[in-house]
Amino acid sequence: MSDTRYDRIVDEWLSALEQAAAHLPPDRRRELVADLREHIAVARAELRPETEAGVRTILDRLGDPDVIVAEARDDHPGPPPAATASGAPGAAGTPRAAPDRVSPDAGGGRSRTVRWVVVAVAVVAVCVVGCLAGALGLFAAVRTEGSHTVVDTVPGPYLRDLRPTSVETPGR
Amino acid sequence: MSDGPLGLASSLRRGALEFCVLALLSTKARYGVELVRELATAEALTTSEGTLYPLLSRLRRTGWVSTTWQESPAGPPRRYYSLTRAGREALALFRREWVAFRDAVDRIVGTEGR
Repeated sequence: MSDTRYDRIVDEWLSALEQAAAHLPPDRRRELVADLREHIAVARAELRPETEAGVRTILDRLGDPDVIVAEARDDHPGPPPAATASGAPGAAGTPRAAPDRVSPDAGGGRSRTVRWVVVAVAVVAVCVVGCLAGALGLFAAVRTEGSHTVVDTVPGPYLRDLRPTSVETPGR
Repeated sequence: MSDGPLGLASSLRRGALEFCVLALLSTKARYGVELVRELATAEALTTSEGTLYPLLSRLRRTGWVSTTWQESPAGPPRRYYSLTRAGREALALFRREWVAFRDAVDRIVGTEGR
């Protein structure tokens, strides 16, 4: 397994990473460091035999801790790395919610398109239905001219029913 | 980052890289080192292996990938990444969008057939 002689090289790299990540929110910093610690442990176990050069190559391939942290910070809209490096206080607070905003956006572009299509279809549908309803209304109006007389006769009996009472009242 | 003043490579990469990860995971689950090394072979895609971990973390939080720990024959347990259903859908969507996007850009920028 891992040769403890090379642990120091790894620990130095990890503490440089931790330092670079100082401005990330604590849970994000812990996650990042844990992910990279895990990568190094797994990659070291694959070295046969484990040599100092091998361990250094793993770290070289991982890259500059500052660049890795910049990538974590760029996950979300926020102050550019330069501003954060100089200690912008907002840097630690802003990143939290942003990742959720970043990734769904990839699908968001699509759903936005879908939404516009739905709106367009709805507008067209309303126009068509409106025109049809208008046309039907015209027809109906022409048709009901005859039936209006029928409608007029309907309240007749009620009025007639009412009439005696209204006649009776003033009679008293 | 050898990226030029426009940060062009980095902005292009950022949009596409996470879907490359999803695509690699669509065939089989992979553990971190394996996944990161696979991606790093495409130089245009990554700056360094380490920069992929923030991206993997984002994909986990988005719910597009899930992870499970598995014992390894030698060395510490490995965390395997696999696609979730949502991740699979996101990848399918990207594949469709990408073709349309690529064709449109190629046509206008004049890179068709290159």
